[in-house]
Amino acid sequence: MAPVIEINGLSKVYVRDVIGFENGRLRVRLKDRRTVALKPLDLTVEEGEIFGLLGPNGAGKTTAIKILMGLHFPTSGDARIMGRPLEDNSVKAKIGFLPENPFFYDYLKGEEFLDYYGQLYGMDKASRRRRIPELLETVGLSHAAQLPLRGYSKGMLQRAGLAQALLNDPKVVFLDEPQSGLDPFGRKEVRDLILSLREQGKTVFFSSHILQDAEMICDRVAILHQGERIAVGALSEMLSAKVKEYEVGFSDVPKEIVEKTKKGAARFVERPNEYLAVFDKEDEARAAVRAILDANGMLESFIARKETLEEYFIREIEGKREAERAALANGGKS
Amino acid sequence: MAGKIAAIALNTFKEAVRNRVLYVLLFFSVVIMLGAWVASTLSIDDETKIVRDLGAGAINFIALLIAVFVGIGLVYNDLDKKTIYTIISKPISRWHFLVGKYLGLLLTIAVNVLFMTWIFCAVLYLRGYLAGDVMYEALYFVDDEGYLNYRGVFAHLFYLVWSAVKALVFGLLHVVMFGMEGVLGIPGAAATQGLFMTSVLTILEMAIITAFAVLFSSFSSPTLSAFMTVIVFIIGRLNQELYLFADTMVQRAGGMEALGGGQVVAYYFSVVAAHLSPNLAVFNQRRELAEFQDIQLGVMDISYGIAYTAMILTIAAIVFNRRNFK
Ligand SMILES: Nc1ncnc2c1ncn2[C@@H]1O[C@H](COP(=O)(O)OP(=O)(O)OP(=O)(O)O)[C@@H](O)[C@H]1O
Ligand SMILES: [Mg+2]
Repeated sequence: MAPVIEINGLSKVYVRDVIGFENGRLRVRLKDRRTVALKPLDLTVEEGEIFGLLGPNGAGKTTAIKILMGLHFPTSGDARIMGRPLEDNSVKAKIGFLPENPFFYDYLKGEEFLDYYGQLYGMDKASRRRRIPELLETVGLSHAAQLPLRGYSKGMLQRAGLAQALLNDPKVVFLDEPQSGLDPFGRKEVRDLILSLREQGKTVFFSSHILQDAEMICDRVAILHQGERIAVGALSEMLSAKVKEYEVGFSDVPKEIVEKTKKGAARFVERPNEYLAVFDKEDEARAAVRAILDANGMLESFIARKETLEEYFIREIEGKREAERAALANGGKS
Repeated sequence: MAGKIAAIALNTFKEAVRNRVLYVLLFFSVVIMLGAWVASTLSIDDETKIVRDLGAGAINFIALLIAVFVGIGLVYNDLDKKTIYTIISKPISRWHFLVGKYLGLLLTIAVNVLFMTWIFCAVLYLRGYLAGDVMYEALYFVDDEGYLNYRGVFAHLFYLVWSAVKALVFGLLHVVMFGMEGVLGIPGAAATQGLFMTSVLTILEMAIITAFAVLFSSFSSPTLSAFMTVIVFIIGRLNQELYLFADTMVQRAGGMEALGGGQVVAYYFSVVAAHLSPNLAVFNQRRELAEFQDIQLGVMDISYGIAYTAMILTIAAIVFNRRNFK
């Protein structure tokens, strides 16, 4: 089956105007006019996937999404959604889009706003009447339907933005930082919402730098750093292939067992009559557990800790930065 | 497609109606109209002429300010606050957005011009009813014994209120009857003759100016857009004078060859500007209005306005189609 989203060598270089306003002041700029926001990017997203585009601030996530939404034109490369080019209105009819920090006409009431956007989707009056209360309920804004958007909090606006992205019952949903501005409950609700979208067979493409949230719901992710794709794949593969740790927590054991365990452990944390040993290898950990039990000690916990996305992320990006620094230093010498 | 463009236009109208600038401008227009009334009482010339001239001028001027400030503001807001993101990603083309925005602005201007026309007609009627001789006739009567009697303060007040109500009703009639309320035999209707047509001309003129406002704000900053739109308005108004200026210069010098370097530049600048700019002179018939002559609105003028507007909007759409939204 053809991928829902195909991105081929998409890149973007921003070139600032020679004369332009910067921070409200007119300035002439001759040097440093180019910003490489996205290096040639290849990605495919399959139907029914939740795909996470991850990366630190300024990595190029928003740039990629803006190009996909036809708001920016790529410097090179192209992309297709459901097999058709981006500017095709038949494609736009089947997608939903939530920009980062969305802003809407703030003089409109929640309901009026969705009604207007429904008209832009070409929905008739009857289906708007049916769909809008339903959606307000889904995003938890039923109580604010008659309130002008001017009176919405940041999180409420984010929810309104989600509602407008789902108006047309889209096949593919693009969400740029859907959880920004939301409290922990809101974030959980958005996670659940994204999962329920997948259950309905929709494809979700979203960007985030909140890794825990991404980790919980993504089928696959791509990691961007300084415009470059440094990793892509199924989360399960990406993380489980990496080093695992084994955590053994215990108490009430004789001194010599503590000493023995401490010697074998990669890391060891000691509190009064409470110990935590971390092992790199499984058999070492098992041996330690056996020793503790044999000595009639108390086994508090035995956890095979997988690497979190955050650790992976930091390691990969730190590695990149290290390599850059080294390259820079070499360049300086020669 | 038409439905979506209409939705954008109506939303733009909604947005404009909630814009405070609009009300400031409308208030300002009423102040000018009342000012014109006061000024006319101080003049020795034909008073009505002056009031009509100033009032129609005020409507035209305020309409220009609405086109420039409200028009540019509304397009710029969408780009600046990024509302455009979620609109352009809906199944509409970029030019739908632009045309919808334009039509919404034009609707706003038309409604406001007609509103100002109503108020101005009411001012003219009221002015007639409060004119010395008319009012004294209503407030004083000669009794059987031949004495002059004042009907009293209450009658006076009643007369004022009643005049205001009549003025507002007849002024509204002027607008909804396309300036033909005179056929009903309304007293004082002569004063408003030709105002409706003048306002229609103003709306046509603003149709062109608003297209420029939309064009400029599709690629440049609001301040620059406002500046350029006003320049277009001025050059458009001076359109005929520019040709005249170029001709006169050549005649004075005695032929093209005799022109000096600076003069050649001035000559070509005037001719090119005159050719490119819209000929707004056809929409400005305030002299005819002041003289109570017929206001001319030919099919040619309307076609010219529509064709010119379509051209500018097409250019705007081409520019808009190519831009990245920041
Ligand atoms: N309109 C623009 N003009 C010039 N440079 C830009 C523009 N938009 C973004 N950039 C630059 O492109 C790079 C990528 O920005 P982008 O907004 O795509 O990052 P991001 O991954 O979405 O970051 P964040 O997590 O902060 O939202 C940044 O270095 C930014 O400075
Ligand atoms: Mg971003």
